[in-house]
Amino acid sequence: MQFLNPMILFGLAAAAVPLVLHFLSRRNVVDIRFAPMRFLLPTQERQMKRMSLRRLLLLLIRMAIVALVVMAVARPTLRAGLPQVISGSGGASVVLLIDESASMQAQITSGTVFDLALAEALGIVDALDAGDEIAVLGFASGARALFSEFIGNRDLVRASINGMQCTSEATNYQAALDAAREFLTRGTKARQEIYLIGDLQRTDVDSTAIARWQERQAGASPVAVYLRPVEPEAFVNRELAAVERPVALLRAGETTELDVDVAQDGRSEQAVPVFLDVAGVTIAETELVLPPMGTRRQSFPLTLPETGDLGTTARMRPDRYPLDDAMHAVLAVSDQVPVLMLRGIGQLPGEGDPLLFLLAALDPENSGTGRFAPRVEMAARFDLAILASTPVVMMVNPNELGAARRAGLTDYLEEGGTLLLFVGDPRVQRYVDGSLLPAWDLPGLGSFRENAQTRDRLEILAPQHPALKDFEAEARATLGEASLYNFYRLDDEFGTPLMAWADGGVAVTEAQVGEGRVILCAFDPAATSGDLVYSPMFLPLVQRLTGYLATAGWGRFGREFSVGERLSVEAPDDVSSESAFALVAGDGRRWPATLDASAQPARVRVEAVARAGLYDFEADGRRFATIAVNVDRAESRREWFTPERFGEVYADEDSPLRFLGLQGENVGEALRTAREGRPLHPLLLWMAGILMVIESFIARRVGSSGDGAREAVS
Amino acid sequence: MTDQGIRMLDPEVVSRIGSIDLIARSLVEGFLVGLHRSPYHGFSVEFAEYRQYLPGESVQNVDWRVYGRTDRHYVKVFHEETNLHGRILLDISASMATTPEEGRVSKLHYGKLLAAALSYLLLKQNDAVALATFDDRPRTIVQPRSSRRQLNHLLNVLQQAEGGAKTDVGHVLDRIAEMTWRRGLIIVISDLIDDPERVLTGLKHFRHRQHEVLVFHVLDPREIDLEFSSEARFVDPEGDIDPIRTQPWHVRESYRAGIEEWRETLARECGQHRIDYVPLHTGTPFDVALLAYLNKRARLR
Repeated sequence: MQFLNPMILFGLAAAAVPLVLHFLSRRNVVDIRFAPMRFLLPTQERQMKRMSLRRLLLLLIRMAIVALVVMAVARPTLRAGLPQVISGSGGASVVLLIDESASMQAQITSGTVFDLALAEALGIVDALDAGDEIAVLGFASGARALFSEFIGNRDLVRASINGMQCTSEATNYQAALDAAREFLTRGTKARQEIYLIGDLQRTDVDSTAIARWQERQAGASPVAVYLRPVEPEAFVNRELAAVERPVALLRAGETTELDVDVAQDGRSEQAVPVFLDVAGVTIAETELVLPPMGTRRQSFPLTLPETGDLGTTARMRPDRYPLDDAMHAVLAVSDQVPVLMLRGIGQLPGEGDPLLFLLAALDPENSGTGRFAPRVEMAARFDLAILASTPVVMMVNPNELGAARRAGLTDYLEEGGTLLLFVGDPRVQRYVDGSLLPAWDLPGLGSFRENAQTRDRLEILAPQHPALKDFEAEARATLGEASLYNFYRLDDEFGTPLMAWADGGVAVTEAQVGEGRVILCAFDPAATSGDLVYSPMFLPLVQRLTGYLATAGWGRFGREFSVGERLSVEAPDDVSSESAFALVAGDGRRWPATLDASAQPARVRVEAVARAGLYDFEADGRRFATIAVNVDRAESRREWFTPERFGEVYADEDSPLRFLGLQGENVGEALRTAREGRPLHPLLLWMAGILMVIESFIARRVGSSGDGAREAVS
Repeated sequence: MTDQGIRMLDPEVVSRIGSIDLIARSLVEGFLVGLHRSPYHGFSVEFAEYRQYLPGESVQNVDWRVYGRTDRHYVKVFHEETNLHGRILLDISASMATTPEEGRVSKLHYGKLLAAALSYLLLKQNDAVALATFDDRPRTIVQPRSSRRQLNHLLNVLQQAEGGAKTDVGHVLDRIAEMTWRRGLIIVISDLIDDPERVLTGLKHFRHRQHEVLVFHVLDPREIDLEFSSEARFVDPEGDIDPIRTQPWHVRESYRAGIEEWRETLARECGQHRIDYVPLHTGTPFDVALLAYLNKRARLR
């Protein structure tokens, strides 16, 4: 707290007036010769203590009233965070830093954010004191001064500000603040202030660079930096948050659903038109009403026309930041997904075959025409080349792979392959824990369930996981009834737990190996290990897990990329090194692609593209793959520093810069409040008024007539 | 009662008159003029008996009707109505002499005027009047006489009575009761600022000796209502209690209750012992006291 008229504080001595009057009034009482004193005595004794307390309270209140009034006249102000910066009078050297970066071009109702910043800068110029000298610096990636020296001519300053132009550069606050500090060395006033006017667009903050910058600042004279954010709150981020494809295998001619999530961070409902384009044709259009600060999901039914990659685009009405307005996805439509099932040694076909129920799940009719095309091989003898065309491998109780096949399987996983692994036999624990899982940097299986008398049930831990989504309700009822007695309790930190045992321990988990995925089910899918395999939900569970692994598309199986990422797809079988490869954008632009024959299998590659969209890979003019390139959602969000956060980032305890937000609609008022602090005299007068009411109440109880102190205060 | 009577009976008005003698006469005459229709006239002498006329006697008292019937000279013998001895006991202690507010009639002055008026009235009825002033002991005692000169003597004593020392009403009443053998009317004029038990014991002592007792309990109006509007230091005129500084309005209610209870106790106790208790204050017109006396006197006839 500080006082604008500190000399008036000497008037606090007036608070002693009630005290003096109090004692004078005590001395000036009249003497009354009174005979029936003994009737006065007992009543007086009762009253004495209470009265002296009240009189003391009254005295204190009166002194407080006088003190409060005197302090109010001295114009106290409350200043937040800048006590030592503002001192003295006689004007200030003021640097106006105006943000000219590209983000200031954002459109608002009345022009651009930059226009608003110029208006705010003019407001600050108007509100500055006559004795202040001003410099104006525009900044983006660097800073430029409009004048070589500080000037006092307000008209010239206004004209210069009106002539400023926005640039397309990025923002560098450190450079701007450095330039302002440097410019302030030319100032002639003892007090120094920087006013930063901009959208406070959040920039990538390099903490080591900030630390070095703060070090440079240390030791300099203190400077107040007032931050005037221009319309950041009014901006609403609206975005397509996610496009979710169906997990199950997609077959031509079938109908499926594409889920589109649209989100906003505004505080009121908003209606947003949303479109779905498939293969370049808009097939659906709807308007979504977004809840405040929430997300709405829209499901679009989609009939898959043909086998192959199907490019889809969900988009909103073009908005101020077009990058956010579309999201691309590629659906792999195929008749069948090949699944390689690896059988361990000693695992015989027939009644005790651990693959029996898995085969039933993947090809229920045993016709070879289902969604999955399972192929059973011996784990110790299978041909590694098969892996190249297999998106999913399934393995039960592996007890011997051999070093070469284990290494081949590891390479396969690291490039984006997937494995659904069942382990529930204690005889394989040594191999799995000792060789297999360490090769993939995964922890061991944990403890084996040995007591055959007790069973355990499965519970779903991750109901939002794509493989388990919408599966939970029906699964809980039926999966919960099934029980197992041959299983492992996996460690809680083993990958991402999907399902757990009712008595504790993880039962099913998903782990990443390189770019690929392993889903480990820590139980035996055999009738000898429990009745889970007879549960009506067991086969759908296997189908879902397999479908998830087959369609998610990681690594070399992936069809979705980010802007700036290297693009590649598997080369088709019928091409040679002579073939011509190209990447073709939706608008016809083409980029040459190269065949990487050294990869196993061979891949076609292109360096990064700069724009989001759907692209086709062509070989000899024939399209063989479609990919989607999207903007990283986190990168495309517009976010701002709050003045508090800005201060936290750009100043530390030793920094001479004291950051303070210029809050409030009227920048002039905000500036005065910032310079002088929040006026406290209305509060003091209110308090004095309340005390006067209390005083009057107590004085009535104590008695009013003949009381000199109160009359004097009144 | 005439207007003049009203004015004269007002203590404020009366006290402006310098001569106590004049006051006493004015009070009583004015009072009696107002009573001309009342049953109190003609009480001065009373027929006693007939006796044989003796030669040389004045023929003024010969009853000629009896002579007409019996042919003998008989003389009507009148004698005084009573041989009442009225004793006025006036408290002249310091508490009586002070007044809480400057310029007001003090209790002592009021008592002196009342005593003078009563003396005049008693003597006018040919009663013998005695006077005793006291504080913590009897100060001046005037023996009872019914002569006309007695009035001057009494008035003289009253005129010179000044505020004395501390009050000891109970003790003084006891002592005077011991000294007073002849039955009579005891008129006590006092503020009775003393232990009520002792006061009542003293009064009962008179009753025990077959006296009739009339108590004029005189207080200042401010002593009854405590109507002071400013903070003050209350000082005991007799110095028994340390000064009390207070704001009267805070203690007024409980003080009044205490005073009221005191007066009620005195009235009740006096009533039980057939003592006439007359509460007065220095603003009370004198006719209240004189009427009280006449009532008492009438019952004694």
